[in-house]
Amino acid sequence: MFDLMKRWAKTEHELCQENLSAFLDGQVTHRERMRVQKHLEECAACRADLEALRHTVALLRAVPAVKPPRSFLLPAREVIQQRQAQRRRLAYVYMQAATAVATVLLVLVVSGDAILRYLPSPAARISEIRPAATAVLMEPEAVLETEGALAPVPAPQEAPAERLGAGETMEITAAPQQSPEAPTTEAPAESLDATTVEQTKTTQLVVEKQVGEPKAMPSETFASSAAPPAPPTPAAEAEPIGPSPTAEAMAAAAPTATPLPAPTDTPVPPTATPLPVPTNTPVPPTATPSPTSTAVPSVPSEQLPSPPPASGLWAFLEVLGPFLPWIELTLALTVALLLAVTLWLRRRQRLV
Amino acid sequence: MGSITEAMDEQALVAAARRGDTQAFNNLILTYQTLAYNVAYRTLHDPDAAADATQQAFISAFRALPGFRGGSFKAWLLRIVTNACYDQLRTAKRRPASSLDDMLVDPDHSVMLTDEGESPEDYALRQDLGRVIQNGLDELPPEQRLAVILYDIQGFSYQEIAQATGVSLGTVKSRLSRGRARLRDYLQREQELLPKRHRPIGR
Repeated sequence: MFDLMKRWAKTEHELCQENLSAFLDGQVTHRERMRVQKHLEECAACRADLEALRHTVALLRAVPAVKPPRSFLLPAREVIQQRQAQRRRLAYVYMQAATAVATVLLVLVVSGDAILRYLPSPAARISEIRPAATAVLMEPEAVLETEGALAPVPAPQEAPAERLGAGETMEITAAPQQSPEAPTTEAPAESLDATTVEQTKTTQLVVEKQVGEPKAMPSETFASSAAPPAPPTPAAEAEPIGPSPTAEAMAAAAPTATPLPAPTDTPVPPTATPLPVPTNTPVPPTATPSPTSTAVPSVPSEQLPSPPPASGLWAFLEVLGPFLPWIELTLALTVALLLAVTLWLRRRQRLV
Repeated sequence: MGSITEAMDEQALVAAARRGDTQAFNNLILTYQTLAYNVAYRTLHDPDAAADATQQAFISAFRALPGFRGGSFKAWLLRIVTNACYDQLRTAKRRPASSLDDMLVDPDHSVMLTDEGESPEDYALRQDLGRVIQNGLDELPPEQRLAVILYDIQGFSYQEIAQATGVSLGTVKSRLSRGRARLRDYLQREQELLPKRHRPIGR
């Protein structure tokens, strides 16, 4: 019984000891306060502890405040650093915006240029066609050859490709790639009529131009194999040399090459030599040689006999045309520079 | 009335400082530097370390000010000061040799703030008391020490201490209770060091 009382009293004592500090500060609940007060009446040790604690707190309150040895106002260095950091943050934001604007501008100009190239103005078309026609007139039989040659292209192409598969595996991969493209050249060729002969001439011109360069190689293979329907071979071999339009032209040109084997014993065929010269001369006025020549096959579908009135936009683009590559280059360099500066600013900002 | 305009002034200063006005922030520093330095000095018991902690706290506060979301600026600043103190304690622990060197020099050369009309004797007595109490504080674990400094010496509320140290009210209560009990035991042991006026302590 006493034991139990003692244990209860002890826990009461512990509770009082725990709460003395909070009791002193008035940070106890009403119930806690009652229990502590009740225990304090019974326990002299707790009363003494409370007094000692009160005295300690009083001493702590009397502890003098010390005077700061110096002022802690932000040093000028810190103020300057802060301002610099702010300025850098602002510069970073501006540079980010400038980079974004320049990038958008570059994308617009490049895409605009691409559209301009694939949809040339009527005026540009006429200027292209005229010199091309005169150039082709110098070689009238070539036109006839092409007209006859364009249609039969796909047919002989597939058969020899299979045949070659036995001997030369390299060409197999090139030949199937060629076949789906052949019909596209065929389509405009078929749609040709009397009025659109001029277009055929230009096509022929392009064909001849591209044939001129790679002919030396195919002619050698002709000599070794000596097979009559060799045409696909030069077409297939020419494929890796030029881009797809070139390959397309090669496919069309393949039959043109057939009558040539005889004179190909001499490295450069005489029919090919005069052609590169006239093709080069009519091109400069258009300023962009390769895209205009690829665009020619698509012309017949929307061909206009008389030159239409040039709109303001077209005229502007015509004037801008020759400078477009330079504008693009300058813009690209600007974007690169802005991006570099922006990244540098970001890095510096992170380091600070 | 005066405290209301003061609080409004403080709010305006804090707002200006948030916009990067260093002059406004320096005004806030003038208001709180004595408090910040005293907390740091009592916690670290080293004038140089306390000065470093105080300066660092104000620089950190200025940088962190855009993230201050209203409430009590004093409590917010106090939290930064206590963190700066903990940082200093950690640095001191990493370099025990330097703190030993500091012990050789009397660290209590600090100039006390004087009360008006205080006699030189009273001043000397207070300085003695400060020295003894400081030695007692040094024996406490940092958390208990900080709780005692903030409540009993600086007069913050339980709530403010909980906010500044990032712990619950109950934790503040128990830290303060244990810290005071330890300090009481220390003072009873070292009674003869106390000025006679303060001597009769407990039992």
